[in-house]
Amino acid sequence: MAYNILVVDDSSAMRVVIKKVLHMTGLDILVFEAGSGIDALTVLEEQWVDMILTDIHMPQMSGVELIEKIRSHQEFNTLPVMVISTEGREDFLSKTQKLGVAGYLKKPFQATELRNAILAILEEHNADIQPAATNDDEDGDF
Amino acid sequence: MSKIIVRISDMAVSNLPGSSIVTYALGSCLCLVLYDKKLKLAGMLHSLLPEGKEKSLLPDFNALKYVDTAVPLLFKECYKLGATKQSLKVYAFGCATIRDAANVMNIGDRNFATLQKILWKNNVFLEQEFVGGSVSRTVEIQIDDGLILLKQGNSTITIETG
Repeated sequence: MAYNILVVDDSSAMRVVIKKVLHMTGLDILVFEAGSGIDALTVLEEQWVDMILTDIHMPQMSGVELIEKIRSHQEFNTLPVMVISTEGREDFLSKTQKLGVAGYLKKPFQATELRNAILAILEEHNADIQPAATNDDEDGDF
Repeated sequence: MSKIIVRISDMAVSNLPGSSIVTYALGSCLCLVLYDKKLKLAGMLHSLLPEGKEKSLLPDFNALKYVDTAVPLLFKECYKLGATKQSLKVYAFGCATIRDAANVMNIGDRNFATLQKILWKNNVFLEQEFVGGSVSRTVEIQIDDGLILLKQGNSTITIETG
């Protein structure tokens, strides 16, 4: 099963890092990118996604505003959203919790932390999650 | 105290009291260290390149040269001496950005990505990683107490594996 994941961050370098980690999960993942909350909504109009990873501090539309917009649409109100941000204040965390975010990771993060968080969220929302089949299942095992 | 030296495309496993295993001048190569506290058993490998499985039929193929073929061998050598996947603590070093003339190889990143992929596939997690940057590293693990001595640049870090 393939997963469509939307990565929203105004830093293209950060989007590259996140994409790398997503490809390391071993899952069949197609990554869509958006540089702002507005771009993310445009992507969502045209493309179904299974999960959103979003930054918070972005120009034009913040991550919080993006989540609020998403939650106001019936179609997207259960879509898992994970926040990846430098923001760590308690009032902020409490606000995002109320918006029903599926996970939160503070920048800077370890690749393994992000990978584990993504897998946990996908697993929770998709009962049949399996790493992508490879041709080398017999090799490299220990 | 005997010192076992792991060269490039090489590995060593030891449970010899008083011994240590060391590898020098680690750049973009990967150094993986395993330690079993109860058995006082350590393993170390030093691999040069990320993927070699497709080259495995070549006559001069050295499985320890490549991360994807070397990592399973290191674990299996430790298993032979009684360790299990659960009893081994795993540490990664190296994978620095040592730029080639064309500035495009990115070997260090690829080595680490290959390691993560193979560990993930086998349900193994790294305890700690000291990777990336552009420093040369020397890694030594003492068998008796499991201490890892990491020299990177001008500094030395002691890592407790317990």
